[in-house]
Amino acid sequence: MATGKKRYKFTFLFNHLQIVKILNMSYKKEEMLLWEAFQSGDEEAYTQLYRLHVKVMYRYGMSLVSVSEAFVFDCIHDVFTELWIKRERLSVPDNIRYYLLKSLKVRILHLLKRKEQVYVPLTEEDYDNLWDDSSDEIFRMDELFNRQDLINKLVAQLSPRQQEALRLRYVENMDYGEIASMLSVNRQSAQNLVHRAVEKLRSWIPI
Amino acid sequence: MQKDYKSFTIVDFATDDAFLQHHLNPTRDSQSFWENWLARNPSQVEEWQQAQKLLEAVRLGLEDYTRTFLSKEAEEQLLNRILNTNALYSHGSTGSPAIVSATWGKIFAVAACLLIMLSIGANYFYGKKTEDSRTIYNRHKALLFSSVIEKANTTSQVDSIKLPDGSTVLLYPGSLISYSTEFGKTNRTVSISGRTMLDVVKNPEKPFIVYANELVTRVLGTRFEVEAYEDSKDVVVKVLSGQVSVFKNGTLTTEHKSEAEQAGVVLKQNQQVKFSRQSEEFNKKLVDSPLPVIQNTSQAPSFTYEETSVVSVFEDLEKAYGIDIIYTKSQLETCQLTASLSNEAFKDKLNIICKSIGATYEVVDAYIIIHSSGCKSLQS
Repeated sequence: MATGKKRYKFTFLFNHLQIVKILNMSYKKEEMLLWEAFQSGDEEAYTQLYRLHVKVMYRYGMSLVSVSEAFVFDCIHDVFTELWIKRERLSVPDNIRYYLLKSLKVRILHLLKRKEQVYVPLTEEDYDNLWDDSSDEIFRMDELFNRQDLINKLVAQLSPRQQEALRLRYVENMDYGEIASMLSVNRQSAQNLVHRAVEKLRSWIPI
Repeated sequence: MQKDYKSFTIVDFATDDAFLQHHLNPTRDSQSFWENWLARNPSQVEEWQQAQKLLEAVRLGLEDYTRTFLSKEAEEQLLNRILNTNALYSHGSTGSPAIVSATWGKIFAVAACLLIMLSIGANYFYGKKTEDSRTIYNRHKALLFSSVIEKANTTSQVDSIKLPDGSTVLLYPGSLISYSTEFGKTNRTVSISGRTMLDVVKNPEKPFIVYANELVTRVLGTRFEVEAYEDSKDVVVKVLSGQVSVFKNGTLTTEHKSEAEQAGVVLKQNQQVKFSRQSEEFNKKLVDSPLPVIQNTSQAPSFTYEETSVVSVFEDLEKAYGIDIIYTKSQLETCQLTASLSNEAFKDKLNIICKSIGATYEVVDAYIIIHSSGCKSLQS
């Protein structure tokens, strides 16, 4: 009986996903057509691409440099204007969202490097280690009734790179190859980063 | 999808590309793959399901991120800015495509690209934004002055600048100051960006006015510091001596007559105000380490006491630092102090005094409030 119930649940899930899938398919195809139109100089298509992706670029940019919205706007501006100038020489990316987010990050890091010359970044390992000791004692579980609050706070305890990797994997749906390139590490490291973060979360969260 | 999923744990599933791809963006292939796999591996169904829950939990924890909201207005504004820049740089190449050969087009594109990068780079090097979003500093500069003298500190050391009226400005690295060629004759107005410390020569007829981000600071003659970085959340004005008035600059026009009606605060020595650019609130308080105001040592109190009433000790402190101390005089009259406090910093002095009379103090806004229940041992 018990397994029969499970089956039923799955069928429901798959049917629901099927609808999403069909939407995704046409969406992706349409996006590629937009890209090609943009490359041939169609400003309307370019504008549509902007509208499709600017919200995600904004949230990703803000997650990297939350202190300055204006700076994030500047960087998005630079990415799109550069695209326009170089449009004829671009190839069609496999994943336009990934391509745009990657360009945005490159731009942000480039400008930050110029801007803050005194700032010497820690090595990536130093950085992750800083967060390694964050212990569960910080939270008195009984004070956090709200599960959402709890999980939010736990995610905030992860290292910035782990958080970034989680955002890219679980929200922007990038694969580990893409995440690796975003974080300038190899594929295995990207996977480990996410794995360790989720392992940690799981040990904290009562599921 | 040739992985050995049989040994997969919950976390393994919940972090697996194929598993996540299927849940976040399913395709017909992924659907049939997992359907088949689950049918063949009933013992793993439990893990698989738990992984689904874990995935949901992780996504729940990322909601702060997912919900980052870009307003429609901001989206449109940014789009316009982008299209404007594009129009600016594709001007000329669109005119006669038949004549402009492909190679020239390319060279032009590369040159334009370089130009943009150079200008953006240069702007950022000076700690400012790109040309399109003209900074507040630049707007001030353009509005206030017809012909401008601008000094930028691009070194890593503090730079000292003498203004035509004899006032001096310490310009911190990455900071800018500009003023009109008329400075000192018709006005004493400067516009700054970054961190500066100003020592202003007294001239009651020509107030010295500083524009910094959203704030306008008006002084007669004094020493004070302004911190107004283009990208920081707050604007801070600290007064070292004298008195200044700080206003929010609402209109950014050359008419600053309405200043008196605008929200603002008056700052005395050892006070500072932090203006939050987001909430537009003024937060006035004492500077972290107050310094004595009286320069002339013969007038300055010695801070050496022998069985002196603590009331006159507080009076000395108020006089020397220009800080208001609030206490109940009748309560403290009987408290006496024997101490030498000439070398201690302001807050150390306060601590020692309060400890020896069994009182505590509190800093509220720019005031010190003394809490005490009097000195009973002496009364009895």
